[in-house]
Amino acid sequence: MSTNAPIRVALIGNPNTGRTTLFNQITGEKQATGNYARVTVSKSSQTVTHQGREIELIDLPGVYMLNSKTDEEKVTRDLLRNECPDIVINVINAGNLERNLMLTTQLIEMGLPRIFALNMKDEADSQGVRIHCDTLSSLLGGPVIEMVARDGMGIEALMDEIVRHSEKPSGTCPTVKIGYDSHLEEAIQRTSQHLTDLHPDSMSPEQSRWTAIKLLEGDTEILGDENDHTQLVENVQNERTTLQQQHNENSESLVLSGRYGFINGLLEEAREVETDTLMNRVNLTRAIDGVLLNRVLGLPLFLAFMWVMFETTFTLGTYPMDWIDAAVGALSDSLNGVLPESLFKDLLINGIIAGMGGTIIFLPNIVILFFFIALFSETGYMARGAILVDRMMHSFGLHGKAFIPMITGFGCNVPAIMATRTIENPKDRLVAILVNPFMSCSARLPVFVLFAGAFFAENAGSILFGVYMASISIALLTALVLSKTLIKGANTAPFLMELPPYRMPTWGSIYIHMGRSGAEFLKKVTGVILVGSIIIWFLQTFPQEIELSQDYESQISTLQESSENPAAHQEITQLKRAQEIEIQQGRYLGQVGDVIQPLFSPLGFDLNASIALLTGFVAKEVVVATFGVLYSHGDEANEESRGLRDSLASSMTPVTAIAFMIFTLLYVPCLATIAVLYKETQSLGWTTFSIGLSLTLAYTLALLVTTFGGGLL
Amino acid sequence: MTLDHLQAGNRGKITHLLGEEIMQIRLSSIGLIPGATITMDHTALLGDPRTYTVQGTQVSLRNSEAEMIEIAAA
Ligand SMILES: Nc1nc2c(ncn2[C@@H]2O[C@H](COP(=O)(O)OP(=O)(O)O)[C@@H](O)[C@H]2O)c(=O)[nH]1
Repeated sequence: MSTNAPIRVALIGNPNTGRTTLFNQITGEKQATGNYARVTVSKSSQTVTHQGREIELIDLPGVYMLNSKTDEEKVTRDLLRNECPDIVINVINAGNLERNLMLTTQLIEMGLPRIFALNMKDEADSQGVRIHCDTLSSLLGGPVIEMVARDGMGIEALMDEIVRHSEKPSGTCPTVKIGYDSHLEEAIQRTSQHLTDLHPDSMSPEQSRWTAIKLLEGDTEILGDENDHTQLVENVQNERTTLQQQHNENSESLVLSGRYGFINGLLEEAREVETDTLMNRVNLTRAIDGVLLNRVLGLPLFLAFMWVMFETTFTLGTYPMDWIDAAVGALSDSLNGVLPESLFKDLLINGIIAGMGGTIIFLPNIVILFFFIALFSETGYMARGAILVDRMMHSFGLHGKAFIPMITGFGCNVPAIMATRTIENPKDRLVAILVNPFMSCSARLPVFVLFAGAFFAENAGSILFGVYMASISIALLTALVLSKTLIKGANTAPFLMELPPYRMPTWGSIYIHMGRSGAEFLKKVTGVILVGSIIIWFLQTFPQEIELSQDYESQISTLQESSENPAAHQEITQLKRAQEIEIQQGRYLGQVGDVIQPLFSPLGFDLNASIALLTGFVAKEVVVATFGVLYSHGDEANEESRGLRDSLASSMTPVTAIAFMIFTLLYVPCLATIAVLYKETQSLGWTTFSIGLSLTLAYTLALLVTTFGGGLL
Repeated sequence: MTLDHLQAGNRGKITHLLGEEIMQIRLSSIGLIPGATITMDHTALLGDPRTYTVQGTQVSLRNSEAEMIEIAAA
């Protein structure tokens, strides 16, 4: 290795061992970590400098095995085999050696130069586990560094060791042999000899032993590599059959037993456990579970925690929301005073500031919500929550872990879709993402409040409840259908997971969660929302010159001059309103509305309703504001406005109103949600599918209501 | 007997992993390995999924997954 080239270091370990924490500590990067089996989906790499040497760190997905059975294993194994990192750092949870060392045995057999990062020493201590690092180091054939990655302890020592290790001549990595049952051992020797004969120069003894074991395990990928050597493949098949007959157990189990034996032997020598402390710790977790997972109390407690989470998110969120609102208003007012009248001023105030301000206002909600999500995930409660609701979710084709994102969707679909990241299986995750837009987010609430009040003042509450019930039912049914049709593999992923012990959360890790989700949200506001607001402003402002059917201005001024009586006053208002409507219809937005209106007429929506839905594409809150503008009650319209309600009530029938609510509930997710959908699925196809699905469902259900609803009301 | 029949608070020793290979590997990867001792801890409302302790770690399994694990009294 030349001394200038960066030292290439691969980080590998089971999920939940602190790889991401370690990676972040070394690189100073802020990726989210979680006390929750979670996948670093793809590998990421970063270069840092230590003692003047460049070190390239490659973070690999968390794996338990190196069998290339799952995508994560494949990524990891391919990298280890094809890109030969200079050093592999095996991150091990010191508190759970039995399980962690299973991966280690496979690394050892691959014969890669290795350093062991014995992480979570604090947890091992509190469990009464003492590990003799020197013994462990000689048995595993690599230096062992004790660490507490979360607190940065041991990082320097690890970095020093990496540099020291890289200075050793290559090929000095000690060989450690894992012994197997004698029959299996003989079969390994025969196969490995056969391999050495077939690949005389290209395989080291370690490589041929590893390949032989993999062949005997029936590893399809390695078998595929050797496909041309028919004799070898045949011999391997025979060995496998013989072993099965001799032991009444397949060769994979025999290999597993061998590794397990190695681990047990090693632990005998290198580890001391104060059984009392360990049992206390396990018993503590069990005792807490006795309450939180209690058959009777568990679910109500979980729902209570969820309620507190949402209640706090929205009530506590209103204070900073008011501040933001006031700040945006003040900014807008002061600019209004300072800037001379111009198109640019209009764009700035009514386009950019109004649009971004209207969205940024949700930042507090998002940060608070993610505070709770981080709290639940860091303490270990999130995994328990998944257990409590899994049965119910499972019958609808959803994974237990999809619960939190669905509920979060009632707040805002954007963080909700982001929260599906905790679901490991990509197909389960896809279903959870695709149904999320049907969960009625808080931005849709003003529309429902306005319509329920205008048309069903007596039963507004029941109507609202009904809308939410429809929202949940449609989401669940969609999940059911999707998992049975398009996304077949979904819902077959096993649920089995390791439950983290209850841990005290640290502020640092919670802060990272909150900070990251907040930052991502702000990035979206400055990106897609900014562009969207400018487009809508443009469509609402141009063309500037509109030919009106009559000269409203002069009529109004004549009326104003002529008399003061109430009748004239009313006439003026009507004229103004007619003028405003005509102007709006002349703008591009109105023209587009004209084009799409025929599409909506079967649903009974008039031009104004069509335009409102069109603008709602940017953000659903905009629907109410658009009605406000169109009915000339000014921008100040809100769902409580009396005048707006009356104008609405006279513009459509109650049945149409229901159809409109259903349509609003279901049709295209807002711009921001579409952006996140795309970001999280990484697929234009699924994003388009989601938009298509929601439009189709919205249209069909609204049409059904319009057609048959009349008879019911 | 398979693991899904283990009563709360009782222990067993894993003897065999049944089912597809991929499932066996997943099970063994979280420490459910022949020879290991396992205790059943808690059951969710409708009897499924359940939590177990195996080698000082807690795991959670659906009953359909626990069916894949043969145990003997320990
Ligand atoms: N007690 C303790 N917890 C740690 C340590 N290192 C990481 N953690 C926590 O363990 C959890 C899992 O860490 P993460 O880096 O996401 O693990 P990964 O899945 O291997 O990437 C997080 O909650 C971390 O805060 C440590 O040294 N001691």
